[in-house]
Order: sequence, then C-alpha cells, then structure tokens
Amino acid sequence: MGAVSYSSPSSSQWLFPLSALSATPSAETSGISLENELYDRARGVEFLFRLGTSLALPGSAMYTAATWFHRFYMRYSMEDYHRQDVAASCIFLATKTEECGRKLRDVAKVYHMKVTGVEAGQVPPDSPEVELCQARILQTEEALLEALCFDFVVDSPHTELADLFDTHPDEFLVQEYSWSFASDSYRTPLCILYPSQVIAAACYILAQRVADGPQSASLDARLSSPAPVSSLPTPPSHKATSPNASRLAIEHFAFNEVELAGVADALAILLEFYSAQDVAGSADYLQPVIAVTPPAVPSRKSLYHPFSQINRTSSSQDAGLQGRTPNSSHGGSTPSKVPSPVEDSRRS
Amino acid sequence: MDAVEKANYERQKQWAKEKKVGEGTYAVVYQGREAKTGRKVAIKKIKVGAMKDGLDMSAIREVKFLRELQHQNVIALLDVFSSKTNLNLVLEWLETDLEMIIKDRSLVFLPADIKSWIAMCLRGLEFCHRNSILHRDLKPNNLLIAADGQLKIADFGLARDFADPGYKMTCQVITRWYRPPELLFGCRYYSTAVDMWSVGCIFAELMLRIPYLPGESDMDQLKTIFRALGTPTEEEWPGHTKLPDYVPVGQFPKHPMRDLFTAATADCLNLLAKFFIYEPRKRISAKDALSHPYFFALPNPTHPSKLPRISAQSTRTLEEVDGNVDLDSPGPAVKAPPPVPNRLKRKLSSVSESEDGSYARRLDFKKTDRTKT
Repeated sequence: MGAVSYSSPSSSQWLFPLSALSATPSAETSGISLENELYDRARGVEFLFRLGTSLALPGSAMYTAATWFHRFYMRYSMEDYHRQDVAASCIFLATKTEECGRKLRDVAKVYHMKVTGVEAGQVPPDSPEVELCQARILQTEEALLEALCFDFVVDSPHTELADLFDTHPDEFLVQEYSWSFASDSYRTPLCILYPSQVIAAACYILAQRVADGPQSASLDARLSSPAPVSSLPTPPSHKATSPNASRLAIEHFAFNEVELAGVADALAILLEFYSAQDVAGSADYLQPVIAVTPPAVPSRKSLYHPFSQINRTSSSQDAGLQGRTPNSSHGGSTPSKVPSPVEDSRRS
Repeated sequence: MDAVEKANYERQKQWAKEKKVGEGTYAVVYQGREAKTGRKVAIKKIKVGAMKDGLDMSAIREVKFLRELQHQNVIALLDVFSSKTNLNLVLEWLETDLEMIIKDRSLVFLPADIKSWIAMCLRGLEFCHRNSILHRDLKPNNLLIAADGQLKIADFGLARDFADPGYKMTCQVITRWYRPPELLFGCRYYSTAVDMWSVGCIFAELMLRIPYLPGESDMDQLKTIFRALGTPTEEEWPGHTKLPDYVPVGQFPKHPMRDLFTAATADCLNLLAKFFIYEPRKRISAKDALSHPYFFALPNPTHPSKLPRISAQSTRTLEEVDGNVDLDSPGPAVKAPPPVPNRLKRKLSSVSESEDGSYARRLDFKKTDRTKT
C-alpha cells in the first residue's frame, strides 16, 4: 500500500509506508536484503526482550525499547550498529524514561551474560568485558538519542488492548492470546508502520480467530463490513456469535477505511512472520496460528523467508561476532505465553 | 548518516549561540538567538558522553516532558538538535524568576499581583497534572518570568508521570522548604497533592516576602511546619503515624493564619489553608484551586504585562541597547542580582568537564564519521 495518513499527529513522523522498509539505511548503504534485515530485527528484539526479562523490567519499558529499536534502524544501518548493542542501549534508555532505573553496570552485566552464556556468579566484579559492554551501550546511546529525535513517549498496542479488554472483560483466552500477539508484533516492524490501535485490533482479531478454532469465520469475514441488518429486528434470544463479536475491536476503535485496510495489512504481516518461524522445529506450538488464512491484501513483495533457511553468516557483522546469541529462538515465546495446541485442547 | 548529519546541521544553523550564562552538572546554558527572527533563546548544551550513566536522568525527564507539554505557563522547548558530541535543547528565553522578584526589596506587591502570579502558576500546574505529570520541584526560582510578564513553570528535571497505584516512588524530591510533610515522613505513594503543598508555600512566600517554612534539616523542616500550622492530629490526618519515617516531633498548638498574614482577605486565607491541609487526599487540587472564590473576588488579578518586574539594567547587553528592547522598564537602578537563567540552580556542584577527553570518546572503536561536522 502507498503512503497513507493516519490521524495520530504526535507519532506521524514515525509511521512509514511499507515501501520504506526496502529503502532503509541497511538496504541503501549496506546492501542488506529486506529478508535479512527483518530477520535481524526479529533477532534484535528477541535479544532485547531477553535482556528486559532478565532485568525484571515492566512490559511497558520493553515495548518502548522495542519501538525505539525499529525506529533506530530507519535512520542507521545494521552494518554500522550491531543489533545487540542497539537492543541493550534501548533497554538502558528505557529504564531511564520509564522510571524503572537500573544501573548501567547491571544492564551491561546482563548483556555480557546473554552474549557469552556465562552465569551471573562467574562474572568477576571488575570484568573488563562488562566494562566494554558499558562503553558500547553508552556510545550507542548517543546515536540512539539522535536517531529518536528525543521522542521518548511511545504508544503501544498493549495500552489499547487494556482499554478494549475493559469493555469485554470475560474473554480470558482471547485476552491472553492477543496480549502475546501484541508482544510478538514488536518482532516485526509493525510499530513503525501502523498506529497502535490498528495493531491492537489486528492482534485481537487474530486472537479471536485462533480461540474460535479452525472452523470459525475467516479473517476476511471478520474484517468485512457487516451485512446491513440494522433495520431488521434481532430476536432478543439470539446471542451474537463470533463473526459479530469479532466486530468488537473494529467498532471499539471506530476505524475508517484506511485504518481497516491497515488492520488487514498488519494481520498479513504478522501471519507471514509466524509462518517464517522454524515451525517444524522449535516453534511447533505456533501451528494453530500459522494455519490461519491471511486476509486478502493487495499483492506485495514477501517480507520474510523461512528463518531456518536464512544463511546465518550472511550478515557481514556477524563474522567478527560469532556466537553472540547462542540458542536464540527467533520468535514466539517471550515475554509472555503464545497460544499452544496444548492450551487450546485444554480449553475447548 | 550523511542525511542525519546534514539535517542536524541545518537545524543547528537556525540557532546562534551568543554567550555562556550558566553551567551545571550536566549542561551548559548559553544565551542565543533564532537566526531567522532574532528572537532570544536559551540553548542548553547537554554533555552526553561525559556522564558515567549516559544521558542524565534530569535531562531525559526534561526533554520527555517538555516535548509533550505546550502551555502558556510552561516553559517552551523550541527545538532539540545535536552537535558533535552534545545535545542541545533550545528553550524560550526568560529574563528572570519569581525568587529574584520576591527578593527585590524595591518592588512592592499588590494583592492583585500575587493573585496573578498564583493563578498563572496554578494554570500551568493544572495542565501538567491533567496530563498526568508531577513536577516535584516547585519553588520560586523554578517559576520563570517572561519578558511579557507571563509566569512559566520550568525545570522538569525531577518530574515524572504518575506511577501506577501501588508503584513506589522516591520521597527524596522537592526542595526541602517546599516539601510536604507526607514526603518528610517517607511516604512512597503520593500524587498531585505534593505539588499543591509547594504552591501553598510559594503563595505564602509571595505575601511574606520571605520563605514561609525554612527548615534547616529534614527533621527541622517538620518542626517548622508544625510550629507554623500546628501538629496534625490523627483525626486531621488519619494514618500519618504509620508512615515509614514517622517520628513524633512534639506538640505545637495551632495559630490562626490571620496572625501572620495580617493583610490577607478571608478568601485568600481560606485558599491558603486549603493548600496546607495535612491529609493529602483532602488537600485542594489545582483545578479546584482555580475555581476558588479568591480568584473571582476583587481585586482582579493584575495583567501579566503590568506585574512588578526587575529593572532590566544589569542584564542589558550592548546589542539590546542598540536594538528594539523596551528601555522604559520600571524602577530605578536597584541592586537586583543579575538574572541568570537559573534552570540549573539546584545542581550547583558543577563537574569540571575536560573537553572531549571523556572515556566514551576514547573507546572510539567503531565510530562512523560523526566526529567531523
């Protein structure tokens, strides 16, 4: 889709058309392919979440940090700033802006532990590696602040979801799922493409679809305008079933056509991201999500290649930084739960 | 990166630094001008690399909140740009602050003047509170006065957004003389009422022309408060004896406020007393204060442009004399202290900044060409 305008002025400079992803500094100045960049963005955010979780940060700080991470790479190349430095720096800055301060040394220590796989007890108090991590974080922070234009305040789909949940408090499973999808949405660049309401709605609708099971209405049906039945009397006994309840999010946010198209695009991107996971291997719990048919959207270039096929050594940075993230899972599981078949069967 | 650098350079060109006017731990303040219009501005240059914990918390808070807040009675952040290793905040230029005005014994305050200042202060603060921001350092020298007389709340270095209920906040905030008793007792859960106490202190100070509750230590501060306002009873302030740092500091009787504020009207004293209600939940809010009868009774608040102001003599620079500055500002030459933009007053311990030799520079292992501009 082309350049669209949304009604959120404060963050408008941070919402890019999808085409901008092919023209990032990483692509333009470093020749990094779109697939590789998105893969490394996902890995960077995964690392960011792992740092944040180890530091026991509140979700809001991690989501803010993740948004900055994506914004940063709209202005700098992944070749010039390693994703793990940027992730750590985003986390550190977020602890300062979100009033959950952590000592630089602690952030650097966790960073060092995550990169090397060393246990906390084995890091000497005056470890030169930790010193180096500190210096890296600080140095990256300078570039980060500049790239962010000091826009520290960031919206998140979670805030929108919390409001939405209030209007419909009983849907426990849908709430759990949509919360996890919203967290996972940060592994994709959705937060720099669509306003947080649009992302929240996409997550909620996908959650409803998964919770309702494979036989339920398609995403397209859930997104389409309702049949003009408003003039017909509805039998009072008739409880609205899923397709109508699924209008909940769309009606809650009172979307216009542009935003509705955005929801469909966001859903398509999210599902494409999930499909790229190592489904046969470590991420088989994603099966029920991947089985969902994406909504019909205008054809575009595909964004993700299956992660298991991406050549690990392809991004030039990693040559000198072998083994920085051992055993990283590339999507799906942190910081909160993702729907799993086990959970599904238990509840249905 | 070239594009970023260029954009920054373009921005930087819009603002001309003229002279250094102050220095604090994390920043140097310059007087400057907007190149296009000649408008005076304050440029606050923040040393990023020099700090051991990265960008200072105060700077972060200041930028975070000022980017969001735009109100006539809150200082305006006009621009942010970076030059080489520094970040620069461009703020509107404000000639003086309320503390200097209070201290200038040559100025006479009319009741209408005090009403005007307090109203502007409350309007700015109500706006902050409406946007879920606590200032946490209100005092006369953080209330700056613009050339047109408007009062602007400044120094958001200690500000924060309201915490979630049940989330602890530090009680080490607000300059002691303006700090409410609940913070002195170590209360970690608090809200807008803390700022309202400070407003009360400022209000009283405007009338008395000296600080109302000048405690010499945190302990003495409590004593000073209770001596002035009476020791709170359990009924007045339920549960205060259970606060973490509660200590009994002796029983003091209540004196009628009228004894001290002899010239104040009944409305005025009524409002003043509401800022000093011990129970934070009952203390008046900024919004309610603004609709208090005091503001509707005569005399009407003085128009900002007619408020007493310090003679501009000592600050006048050459180009101003040549230029279009109003030279008919009131008052004979008095020994007014030179109005320094005092946004950094609280942090006087200035760290000697040894140029760029900071260690973040030295560890320049993967630097792009940003060192050249």
